[in-house]
Amino acid sequence: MSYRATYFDGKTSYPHEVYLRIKKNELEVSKTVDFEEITDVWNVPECKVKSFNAKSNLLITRGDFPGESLQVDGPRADTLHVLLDSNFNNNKRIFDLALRGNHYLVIFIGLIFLSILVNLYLSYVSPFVGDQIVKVIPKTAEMGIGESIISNYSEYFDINEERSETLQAFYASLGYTSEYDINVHYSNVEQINAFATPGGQIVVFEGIIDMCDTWEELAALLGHELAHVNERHSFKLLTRNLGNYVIFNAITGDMAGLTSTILEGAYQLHELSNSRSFEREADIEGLKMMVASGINPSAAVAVFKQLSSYREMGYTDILQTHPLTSKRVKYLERIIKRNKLGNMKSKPNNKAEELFLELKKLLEQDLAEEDVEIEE
Amino acid sequence: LVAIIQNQDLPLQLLQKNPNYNPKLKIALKADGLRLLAVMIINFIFIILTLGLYYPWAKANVRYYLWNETEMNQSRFVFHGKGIEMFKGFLLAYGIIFALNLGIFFSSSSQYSIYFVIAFYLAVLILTPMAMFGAWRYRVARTTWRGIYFDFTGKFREFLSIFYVQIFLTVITLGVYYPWLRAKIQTYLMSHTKFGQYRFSFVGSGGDLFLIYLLLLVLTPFTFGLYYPYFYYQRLKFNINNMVIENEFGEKARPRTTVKVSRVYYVLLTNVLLILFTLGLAYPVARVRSMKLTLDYLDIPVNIDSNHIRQEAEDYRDARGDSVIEILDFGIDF
Repeated sequence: MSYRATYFDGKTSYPHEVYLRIKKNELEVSKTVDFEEITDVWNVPECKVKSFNAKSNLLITRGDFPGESLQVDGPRADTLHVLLDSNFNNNKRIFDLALRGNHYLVIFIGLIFLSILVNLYLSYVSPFVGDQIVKVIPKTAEMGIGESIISNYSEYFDINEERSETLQAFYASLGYTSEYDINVHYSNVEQINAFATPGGQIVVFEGIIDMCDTWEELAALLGHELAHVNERHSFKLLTRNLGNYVIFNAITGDMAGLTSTILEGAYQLHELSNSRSFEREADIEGLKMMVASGINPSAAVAVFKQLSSYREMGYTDILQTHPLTSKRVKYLERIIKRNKLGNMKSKPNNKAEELFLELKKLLEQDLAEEDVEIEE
Repeated sequence: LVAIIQNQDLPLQLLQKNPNYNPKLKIALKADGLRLLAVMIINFIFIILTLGLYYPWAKANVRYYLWNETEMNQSRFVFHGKGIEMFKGFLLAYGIIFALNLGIFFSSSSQYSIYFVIAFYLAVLILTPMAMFGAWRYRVARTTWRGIYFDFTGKFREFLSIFYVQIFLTVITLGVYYPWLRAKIQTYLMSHTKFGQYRFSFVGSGGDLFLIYLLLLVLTPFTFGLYYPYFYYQRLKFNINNMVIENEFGEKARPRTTVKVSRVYYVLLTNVLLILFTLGLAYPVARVRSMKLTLDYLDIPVNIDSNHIRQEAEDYRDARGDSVIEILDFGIDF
């Protein structure tokens, strides 16, 4: 059995017409020069297959730079392809499915498999890898970041140093524990919000202190934020999102249009669910801390009920990323009921109460002053 | 006859009398967009399974396919690049950027952060021209047709000096100079590219390109984007019709694109519909269709004898001092 092929000597692009004969581990290449047949033997193990899709064309090379090459065209390329199977680069074989096999099937099954993989990746791999990275990062680095956030944005947050001290003392009186040095800051901004940076900086906005009716409620709020710090949530979110970003960039860099939009949508949904699961964790850990410090956990329920009423009024931006407030009220109530903490009374904490009332009083004074200003 | 074929120093007139002389060069892209999609899906699966590390190999696979499906006079092009080579460049470039970013991140409250910021901008300023130059050379030096290697003879230092002057001018003119920068860089890269004894060069002027961009900017809002295919057509003509191919006898000729505006409009508008209705899945199909606009309508001048292109490139694996530059082919498409 012999094939017609074209031979290139690597010196010029001149196409030499040759005949190929295939023997066990050899290719016999013969050409006619001056009516004489000259035969050259190519050892199959020394040949490399250079073409990526050998359905209708095949290119075999021999030797280093520049090398000689043999080109086979038409249906015979496919037959020869099978014979030279072991000479393909390893990764080319799986691509045979796409290039020589039924590519519709590859697209169909591949897409299903791909969507399962993307979901597994987002749900399990990236959280796991992200959290491992967080474990390696030293706490001092985390604290540095927290401090720099506060110092860079202190003007924007309008931090009230004097009241921060009172708030800090309030926090200290609660008896919560943390591996971090916690700094609580009082912001004059009238937002109903509070947040924690990595490494132990907690910012409480004036609006939310105004919203709290009892010292236990403020304690519940601080417990929640402290849990974010202790569990290193913002850092974990950062590393997870970074991992997702790298993967999606690699994929969408080669695709365009709506596919990337859809992928980005999936990515943001996962970002949302990541942060929601962190909020839930912080809620529960905060609750535990309250109980450990002898504070009635029902105060947490009261705070979130308050928040949900503000939310309905469209007041608060305490975050679309947080669990639906009504849902979180439900699961907190369930936990309290299950642990029979419903009737728990707070241990008297005069100091905390005193400091809380002091903050409230200062707030009332502010309001009175504002009224005077308006009247004037 | 054999003597005539083998004597490569014969003048063109003699070669033309040779019955094997083949002046007609016909290029055609034979790629199938759906097969490309299948390749890309397998790529994506590997990218996720390897947590992104497969990316350079994925890029190589797409190139193997597209090069292999580009046919010139019954022979296909071959891309000889390797995933592992591109992976090294990818690691190097992203490693530097990532390390500096980490430095900025962790030193953000100390007095050292300014050094990291400066180092970051310096790295970008050095890596960008390296990537432009390296990507071009990598692709050129690893492409063959009938066993003949394309060759790039540019020098990185020369390129750098051109690049920095051009960037400086672009910055002080608030970007207005950009088309001139593009044309200058394109000219440098093309005029140091060879295929056998044939040299390429580029004569497109920044002024022409400026006009092309200006019209796009001015007309896009009034035409609801319908001007874009016309811009695409103008840019295609700019890129192809300004190329010059010089043979060993110093004869210069210019290729031409024969594509019609109506064809460009048809392909680009249907591409938009294709992508929209398949939620982006048909992207590889659209990509192949627009590549065909470039490749299938090339009218290549007769000063090339496709059967007698001589191997003149040096072995790219020779120890070239700037091999680091070469592997920085990580995605800047120029």
